[in-house]
Amino acid sequence: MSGAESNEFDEVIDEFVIESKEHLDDVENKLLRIEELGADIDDDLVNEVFRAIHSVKGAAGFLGFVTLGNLAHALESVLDRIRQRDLVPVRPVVEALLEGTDRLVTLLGSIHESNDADVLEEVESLLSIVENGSPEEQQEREFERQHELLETIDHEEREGKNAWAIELPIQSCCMVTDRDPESFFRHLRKHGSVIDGDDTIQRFLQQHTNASRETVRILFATDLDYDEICTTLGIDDDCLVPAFEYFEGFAVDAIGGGSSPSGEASPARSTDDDPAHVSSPQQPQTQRQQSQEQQQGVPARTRKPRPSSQTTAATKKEQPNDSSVRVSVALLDSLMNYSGELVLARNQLLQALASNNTTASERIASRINIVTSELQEAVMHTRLQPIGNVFAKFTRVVRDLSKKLDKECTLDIEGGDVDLDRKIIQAIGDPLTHLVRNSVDHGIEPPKARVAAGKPSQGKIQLSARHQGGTVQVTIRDDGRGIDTERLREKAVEKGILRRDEAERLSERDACRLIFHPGFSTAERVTEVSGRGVGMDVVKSNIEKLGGTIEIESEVGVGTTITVIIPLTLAILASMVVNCGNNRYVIPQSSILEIVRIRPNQDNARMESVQGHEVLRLRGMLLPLVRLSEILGIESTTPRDSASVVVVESGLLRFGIAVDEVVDAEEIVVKPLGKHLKERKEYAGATILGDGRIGLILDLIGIATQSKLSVAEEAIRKNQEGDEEDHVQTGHVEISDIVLFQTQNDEQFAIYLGQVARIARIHAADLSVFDDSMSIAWEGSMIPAIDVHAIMHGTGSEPSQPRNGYVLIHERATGNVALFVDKLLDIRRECIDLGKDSKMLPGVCGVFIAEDKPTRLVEIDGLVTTALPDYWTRRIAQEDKEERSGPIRILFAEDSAFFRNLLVGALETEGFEVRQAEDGEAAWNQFETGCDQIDVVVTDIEMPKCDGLELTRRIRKHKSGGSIPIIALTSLANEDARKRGIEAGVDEYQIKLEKQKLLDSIRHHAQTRK
Amino acid sequence: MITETTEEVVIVNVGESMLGLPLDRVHEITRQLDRTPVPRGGAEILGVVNLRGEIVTLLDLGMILFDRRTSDDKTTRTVIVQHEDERIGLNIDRVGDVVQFDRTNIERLPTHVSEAESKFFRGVVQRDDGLLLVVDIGAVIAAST
Repeated sequence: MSGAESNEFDEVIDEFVIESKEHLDDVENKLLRIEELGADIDDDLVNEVFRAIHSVKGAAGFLGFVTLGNLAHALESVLDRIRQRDLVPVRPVVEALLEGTDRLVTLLGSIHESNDADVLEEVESLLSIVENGSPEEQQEREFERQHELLETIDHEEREGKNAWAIELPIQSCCMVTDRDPESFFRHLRKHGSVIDGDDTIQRFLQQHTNASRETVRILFATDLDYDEICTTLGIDDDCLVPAFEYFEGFAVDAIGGGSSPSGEASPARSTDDDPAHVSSPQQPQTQRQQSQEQQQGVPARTRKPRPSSQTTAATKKEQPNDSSVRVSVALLDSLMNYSGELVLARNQLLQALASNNTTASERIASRINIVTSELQEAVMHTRLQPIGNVFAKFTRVVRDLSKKLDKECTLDIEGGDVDLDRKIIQAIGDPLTHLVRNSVDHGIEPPKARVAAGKPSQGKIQLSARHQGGTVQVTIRDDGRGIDTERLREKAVEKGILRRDEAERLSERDACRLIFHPGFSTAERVTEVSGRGVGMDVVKSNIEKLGGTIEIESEVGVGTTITVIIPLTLAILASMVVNCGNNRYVIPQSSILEIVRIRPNQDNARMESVQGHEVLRLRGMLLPLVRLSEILGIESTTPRDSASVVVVESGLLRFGIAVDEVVDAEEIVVKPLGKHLKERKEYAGATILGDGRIGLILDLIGIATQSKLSVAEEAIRKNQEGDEEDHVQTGHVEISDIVLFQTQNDEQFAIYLGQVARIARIHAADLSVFDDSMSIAWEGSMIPAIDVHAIMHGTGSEPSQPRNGYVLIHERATGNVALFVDKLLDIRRECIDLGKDSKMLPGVCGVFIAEDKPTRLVEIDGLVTTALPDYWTRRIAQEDKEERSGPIRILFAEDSAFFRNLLVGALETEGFEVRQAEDGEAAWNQFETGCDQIDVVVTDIEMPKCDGLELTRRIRKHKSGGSIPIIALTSLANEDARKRGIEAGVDEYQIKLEKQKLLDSIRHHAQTRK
Repeated sequence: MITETTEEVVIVNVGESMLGLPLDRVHEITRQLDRTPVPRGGAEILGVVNLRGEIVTLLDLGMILFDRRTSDDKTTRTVIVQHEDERIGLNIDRVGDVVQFDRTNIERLPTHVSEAESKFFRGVVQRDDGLLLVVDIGAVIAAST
């Protein structure tokens, strides 16, 4: 193989590995779900798992990975029996499937060595299930059999015969009786009948080797008595016992008709590797082992959960993620677009600069500004992954752990589609795992304790994730025993962490947080599961390293809720730069609620003092206030009674930070501080500002802690409870980004920034009036321009006068709209306390105060409906017409899962709708049932059951199939094949894997058909 | 002549002492960079500087070794050293030459020097122009964290 070829082959293998892992990723969860459903088999689910394994098997076979293929085949066989309703997926069955799947993943992890791996164990356990049903079924059958045997023995004894259980050491018997094995057994049968063990004898005779020291165990009924047997058969008297004695451990009631074994363990009844013994009644566990021994001739093995294999599977799964990432083609397309636009804008800029055209330069610069932001956001998105990837493995964790600890727990997962930067996902995996395991280990009580407490025996753990502001919140909630803060306080005092009076003064919340203190473990024994007290404090520091916070709420006997809040982006932070003492500091914007300038004698924003703590009274709310200069120990450059206050929210704390000056909003790149400063609570990093100077990024949690804000909070709360008259309940104050503008007679309005896509300054000449309505050219088409002033004053019927001003563009799929305003005031984040508008003007949601003036908040739908009543409906009708043509629908028949997956992905990305079929027969069925919903048929030629040519013939014969385009895919490109195809009715032949040609051809045929 | 036991150090002055900084840990030596103070950072931390885009912590070597402030004038230099995976700056009064000597010439510090003081040095070397204290940079960094 040439260098280039081997590289290509390696690439194919890599792709195979990645795709297979994706297939198997989901299989674990599906198997768990199948186990949950038990006898209520969900066919679709089983089929999904079957297909996933089948795909892996097919591709593995194609690429020569024999061991992988064999294991997959064994898994497939079990799944097949399940989907044929021949086997109930009880726990041991699913266990075997899970272990087999785990092994598959491990093999995929070191694919090149996979052929050397030994998967005998997993394959055999699966195959035994296939042959003999679930271990429980096996058990049942075993009991039945023994039951029968006992009846036979009973019968024989009543007839006057003796029944014996004999262990024949064949070699010695033969020697003593001077016979060869065959003749010995004939001799045996002359003296009685073999109740059980015939097949053993047969097997022995077939496989007998001289070197073996095998013993054959049989149940034998005979007239002979003890001594006579020994002499006749040439055995010692310790080789036989009366049959009933042999079955001693077996429950007496079994003879009477019951079927379950007693739990009694008979002393080891030779569980050596004798393949041919009657299984003796023992505990169910070993019973299973023995049945397996019987069937497989392999020494018994335990079936405990194998944490090591689980973690290796997990870590192996993690590996490919490190070095590469999957990105949707749509995202890549937008990246291409944005970079293209950037290039264009740059070229324009260079030109404009060269010709000294400053207005053009300004305009282009602002375009570059916008495009750069969008490009940056898109690039960030490539690193986003759904948090579900981390959540997925927790179901298994909870299941295995509950099993190990004899508890019953379920795990509910919500919000798996929340996206997070990859680095963060990798970093929170461990802390979250620890928290979940903790819930199971320390939180959820054993079933008996739960029932005694009036709770359902099954504990519930809820794991959920959601976006909030610029953060992601992950919550782990359990309905377990809760955190006993009394005990925590005790422990803290015992360990000398707190004095007794301090411990008692702690609020409930702070007491809960004692858990995070290093070296603080209240578990009576160190469980291997959650480890020593190194657990929680490490979790906390890991989370804080990511810039996040962790909060605990708990109620004894009810449960515990842990909330982890993580800021979304690591690298670039939108922030506010502030000045304090001649140096710059940075506050992340996602934490900022608002910025207030405090001036003396101002009513709605005032600094006050409550029990010695400074507070900010803002529109009736009281917030703790900290002075940055005091926290940092530096001198402020502004007088004390006036300041700029940044109101922030961090974790669950809301407070104000007083600084000298608020400088600017900037998007900064976060850089880490060196080890000397990393641990400092006040700082979360640093950045290099526009002028090259360094701005230290403030860590709000750290600042809150340093200034002992919790104490201040308590003070405020107590104060507020007694402070009723002054209590202006602002209720739910909305904080939004708005565009503030004015119309002709200086009336002030605002609109949500979210409804505005673009803002442009225009001249009167840019507006055209036609037929009583105003419009403006925008991105190549004319869109309506609504004069806000005209609407508000009801002069909408008269054409407005075009004049200079601004347009706010609202974009919608059904059509863009421009709002014309006279003066643009500001774009800002505002605290909106909306009151009713007495005049009830169209499109107005309410009134609030901004810039000390009454401002009407408008929204787009109301305005458009007033100005252009049938604009939306007209557009929707048009859209409907377009949609009816819709995406191209393809029926795709291909038996190789590998190739099928390869192509289906490509087809769907193109926007085609694909129906898949794994062979001609399936494709034919799909065609028959839905031929009017198919635009193009793409089919492989070589397929089982019904090949591509046969499929084509059938379609052509069908009444609706005459004209449907059929494209055949083949690896063979010779003339003969082509001719045969054309004869059958194929429209075109395409070579497999020439993707672009295929896509073009499909489009072409679909168009011409229309 | 460079042998296996040759040690190369750059001579710097801090206060009245002549110190040798092992060259294998020294990344560069620059004039003073614009520094941003870090309030509450600690007495030994002079601040942070922008070293071509990297934010580097600046330590006062005089404070760390002798509890005395390094000068802040035109001879003051910043020695950027490599420590694990980051760079750290050490301010010194004056920089001298790079010299070599045989490692075996490093003697232990006299016994009357206390443990606390001697932990930063690997030893002394007798030279014509005085005693050269060979610094253990790792110990210096570790102590100030």
